[in-house]
Amino acid sequence: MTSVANAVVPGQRLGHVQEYSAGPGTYSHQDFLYASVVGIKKIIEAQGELPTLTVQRENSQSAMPEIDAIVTCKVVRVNPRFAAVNIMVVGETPCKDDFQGIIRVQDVRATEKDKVKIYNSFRPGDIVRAQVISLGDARSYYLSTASNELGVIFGTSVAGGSLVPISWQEMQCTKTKAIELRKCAKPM
Amino acid sequence: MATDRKRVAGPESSVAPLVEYPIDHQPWTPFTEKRHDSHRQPEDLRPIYLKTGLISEANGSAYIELEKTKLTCGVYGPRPVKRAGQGFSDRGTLNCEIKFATFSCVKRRGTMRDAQEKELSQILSQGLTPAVRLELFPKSNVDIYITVLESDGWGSCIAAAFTVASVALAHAGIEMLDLVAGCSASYIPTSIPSTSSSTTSEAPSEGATGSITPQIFMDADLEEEKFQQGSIVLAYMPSLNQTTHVLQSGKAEGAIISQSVEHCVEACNKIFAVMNHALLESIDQKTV
Amino acid sequence: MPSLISPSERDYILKGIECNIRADGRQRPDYREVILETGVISQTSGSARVRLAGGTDVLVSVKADIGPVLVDPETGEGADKGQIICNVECAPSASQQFEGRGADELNNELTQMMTRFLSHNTTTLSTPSSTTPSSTGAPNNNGAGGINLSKLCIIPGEQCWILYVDALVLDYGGNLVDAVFMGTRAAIFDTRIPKTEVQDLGDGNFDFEVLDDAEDTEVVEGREDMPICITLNKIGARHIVDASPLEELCTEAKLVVAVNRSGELCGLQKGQDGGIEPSLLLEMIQFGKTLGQTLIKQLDAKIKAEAEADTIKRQNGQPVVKLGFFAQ
Repeated sequence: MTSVANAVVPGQRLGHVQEYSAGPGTYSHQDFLYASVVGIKKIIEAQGELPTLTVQRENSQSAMPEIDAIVTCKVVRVNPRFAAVNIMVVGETPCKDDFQGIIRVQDVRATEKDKVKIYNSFRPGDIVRAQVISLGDARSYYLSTASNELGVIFGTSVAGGSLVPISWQEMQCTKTKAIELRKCAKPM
Repeated sequence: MATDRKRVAGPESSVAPLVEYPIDHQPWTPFTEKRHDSHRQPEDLRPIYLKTGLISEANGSAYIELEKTKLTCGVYGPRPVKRAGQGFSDRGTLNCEIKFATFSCVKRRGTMRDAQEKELSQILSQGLTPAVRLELFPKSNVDIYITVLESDGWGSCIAAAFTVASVALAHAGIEMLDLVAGCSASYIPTSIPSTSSSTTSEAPSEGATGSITPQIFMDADLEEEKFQQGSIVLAYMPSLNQTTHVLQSGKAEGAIISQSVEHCVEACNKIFAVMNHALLESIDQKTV
Repeated sequence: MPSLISPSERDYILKGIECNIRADGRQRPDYREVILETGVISQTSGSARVRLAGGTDVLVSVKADIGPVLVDPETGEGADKGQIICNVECAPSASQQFEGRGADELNNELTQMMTRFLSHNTTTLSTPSSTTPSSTGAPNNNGAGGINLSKLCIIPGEQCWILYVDALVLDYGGNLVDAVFMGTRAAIFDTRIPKTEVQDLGDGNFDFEVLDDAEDTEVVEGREDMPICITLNKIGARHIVDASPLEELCTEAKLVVAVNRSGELCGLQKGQDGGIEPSLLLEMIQFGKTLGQTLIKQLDAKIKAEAEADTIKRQNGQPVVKLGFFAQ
């Protein structure tokens, strides 16, 4: 029950800016720090710096993609210029509603960008791990898979079997042993 | 008026049932008794019941009850903007919708959102936006849906909508600067005007109206609102000391307005304590 | 009507206002020149056109129509009253943004505000429920809108005059609310309602006749007590009146103060997505009240002068020439 004693609500004054630095769940306004979410107040001591004040949310807000975040998404549509995806998980937290994203052809891999063919990299239904590179346009976030760990992590072959990566750009069907082309993520 | 043709419409007009009162029944007037529910003083609010987490599907939700005023609110988001044609914005948007249940008022309300509900929705989002840190939700939308289940007093209903919506926002874990508390007050004359000799239809057009100083009734209910000269609804952020919305109608002297603003601010601080309690209670239940 | 403003432009306006000088040379409490003309449309019972020097152009028409009275089923109230029905529409010609459904929200906001500030019944805020029961002897004043609606009733319980107040925004140059209300007040001033003669047919039946005499008409009673609105825009720590479109984009919060000639407040509404400290709020209300009273005096003088000039011309048999739509 000690945690309840430290429970705070938005707008509650937590301390002076000279004593603490503002962490997640807090904001500073006119020399004071205030809580901005409902949750438990925590003070993280740091060597040589001001201790950081944070408020740990009680009800976590549904996840939102941020720049540089690693997201897990599902390919819904492909065309020669980009693959359209639905972002389902940001980091470790699932989103309540899917956010739309696109992986443009130039963002699929880091090298030989001009030789990339979207349909040799992604197919609809694939589950892809990607990184958010910008907030994008009014509709979609822009994602990139230009890194070894990023790319298709799960897919189904034409025959319906699941695909296993056999190289960084090939995957094999477990049923028919047919090889299909994908931009694979390095297994972790 | 817009109608939904896929729906079986209710009767076009409705009539309040004839209630047979006992012979000695006297309808409440501000001249005889202090308040409609006699245990209150003019500056007293109705007791507030506030609870979070009723709608399991929503990210955050709350329910408020001030005796016969009952509202629920669900908050969804931040979620991607659904509406097409809305350009890129680096701030999030707050989308607020209020709906009166068809049975919530004396007269039956329509099933479609009418002009008044649309305006109220706008008023609510104007009053709640200052409290939400929208800069943290680029190109996303936070949706607030308020349903009025029972309305006893128009002003108190709007005020309760502010209160319940901000509690639901906090419950959804949305980053906010402060909570918004809403409060209403009515200006009700407590004595019969001296010009009783003139018939009611022959209203004096000049001067006479200012002669009676009305009393400020906090959180008036429907019976009391029938006698009001004017009313005010104030939304206020207690920690930051900012009013986020003010809506006043009816005629009033400047002094009455400033007095009622002060009263409302005071009352909002009281409501804030209730909101605090409700939110802390939601933590309590989880940790226990 | 611009919809976005650059940070440097915003900063320029903000600092200017802090120094009490605005982009067009005005000081914070200065109004632009108001061009007001009444009787501009012959088809109406009353009309007015208001232009603010910066470009805002609003045309308001009042049409008097006969219709059934609106009775509240619960209280029986309204049987002896006429009605005022307000509508504000922003023409797509005023701004690209008003095209299609673009102006819906603004139209609705203004219409509702006008209905709330003008309608007689003091409990308009509680439209769905009830009105002041006259039988209990509650004070029957002329409401916030000023207009005496009882005078608009022809046969109690049956027929009444309905005033349709329609405002059309022709051009947008900021400060729409003030212009709409100024125009409405002027249009109601200009309104003439034909006289009616009620005949008792016996058995509680009545009939009436509208007298078709253009000379013998009635004015709207209580028109002097109609409020006007002053919109105060809070920018930074200061507030200004009569904002230009660019200044409106910098506005954190705006406050609409409705005030009548005796300095009574007839309505208040906050707009935009910002907050105001309670002390500043009260200061702004006070300021709006003082300014509104002065402005009403000036407007009344103007309307009166125009009406008198027209009467003299008519008496002398001269044609009454209006500036009309070509005037600049």
